[in-house]
Amino acid sequence: MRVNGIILNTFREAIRDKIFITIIIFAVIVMGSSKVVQPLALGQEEKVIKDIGLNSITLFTVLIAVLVGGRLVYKEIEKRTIYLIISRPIHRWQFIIGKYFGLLLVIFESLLIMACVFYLILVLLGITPSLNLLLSILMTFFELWIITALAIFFSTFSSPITSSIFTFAIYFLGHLTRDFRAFAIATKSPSTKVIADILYYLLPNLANFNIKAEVVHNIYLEPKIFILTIAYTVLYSTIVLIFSCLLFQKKDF
Amino acid sequence: MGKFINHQFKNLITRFFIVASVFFCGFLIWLVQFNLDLSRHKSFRIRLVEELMYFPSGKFLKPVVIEYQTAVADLVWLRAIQYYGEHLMSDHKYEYLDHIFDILSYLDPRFSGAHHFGALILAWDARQVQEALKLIHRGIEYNPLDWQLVFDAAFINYMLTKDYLTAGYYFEIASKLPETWRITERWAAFSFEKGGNIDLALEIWLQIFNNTENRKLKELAERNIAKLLQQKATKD
Repeated sequence: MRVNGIILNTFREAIRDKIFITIIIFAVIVMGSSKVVQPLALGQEEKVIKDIGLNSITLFTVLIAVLVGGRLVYKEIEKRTIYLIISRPIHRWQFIIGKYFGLLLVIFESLLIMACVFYLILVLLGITPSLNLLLSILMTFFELWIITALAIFFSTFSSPITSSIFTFAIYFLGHLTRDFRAFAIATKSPSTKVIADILYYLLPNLANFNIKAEVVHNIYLEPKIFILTIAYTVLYSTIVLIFSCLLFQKKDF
Repeated sequence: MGKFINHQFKNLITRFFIVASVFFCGFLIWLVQFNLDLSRHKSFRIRLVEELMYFPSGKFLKPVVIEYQTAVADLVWLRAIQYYGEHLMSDHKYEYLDHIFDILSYLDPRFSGAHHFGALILAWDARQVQEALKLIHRGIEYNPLDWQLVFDAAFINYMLTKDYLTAGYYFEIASKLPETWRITERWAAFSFEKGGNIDLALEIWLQIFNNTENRKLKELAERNIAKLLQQKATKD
């Protein structure tokens, strides 16, 4: 019940955030602007519009997770509202979990809004909106589970700007993990191989969540991939949240 | 009187100089503007070339744009159309077309429409047949069931490199892919015949004869089989 209260409070607080509202408006404008691109695409309008839609949804929700998530815990400390919260019979881990799921709720809501706008644009432009596109949006949601967990983790010990930079860096590197793997295989130096392998398993393998090309080109994806990706998301987010709780537990207020 | 004339003359000379100066300045302005337009036009061209020269390779761009590869590929696609259009309307020189499509192919190898269009304009307009074939091969690698790409490879080989046996090989593969044009099988037979492989051409015509219920097609196959058998007998 206490966690529920924090979740709802975080949700209310985040949707009132100017950053959140600005990002949503901007995303809707970018998706709507695909109409402008339509006559220039020379027979590839459907692909271009779907790509713009899916990529905008990912980009703007990642921005929400990083920018709003990076401020969540720090804001409570800065405004000293944290004293009010921790003085109540509530565990510190409950506070972190509440913040995490509150932000996930915000992200879910923004994904829902963007997906509705995207489907509406497709219908208005006379493109059959396939359900496959929803799979890609769903994968983006799972990717955001990890990014949000990382944003909360960095938010527990750093300022919003530093936290956002760290989360962005991990987000970027998380999409290059397959290159680390390829590098580990290709290199002859055993120490470099070990480092590259460690990075491969340590960093979140975010390329797993990118199925945009497959979805737009109507390529069949095995259900096993989704199940394993969901399992990976739950496990990775749990570990990051455990570390966040431990760090927050040791913090002096 | 003399003074008056002298004064009038001076006035006339002054006026003449003023008018001449105005005209001269006007001419200079035109000249400067003309040169400005020229250099601006030149700098636009240089800018375009420079832009493409520093347009990074697909291999480099792919990791940098992380999960937004398809969206960046679309932007490159729009740039490719613009580049092609600009040169189609002006000098018909497509120096960097290959580079642009190479990037596109790396970013979204499943974008078969871009491979199809890119290969055809590279082969026909830019006359870069080898680059066109390279692009189409990469397209086929990632879209093995797209008959149109295989057909393009056959078409380029048949029409431009005049490699009829390779063209026949691609036509035959294209004829077996889903949603293909039914005529490709016949083109495979024609290509093999033109390339001098009568046995393969004969085999395909026999296949057509055995698999079709269409009376006209059966007759056509029959005629071709007879012709090829005759050719074979003469050769032997």
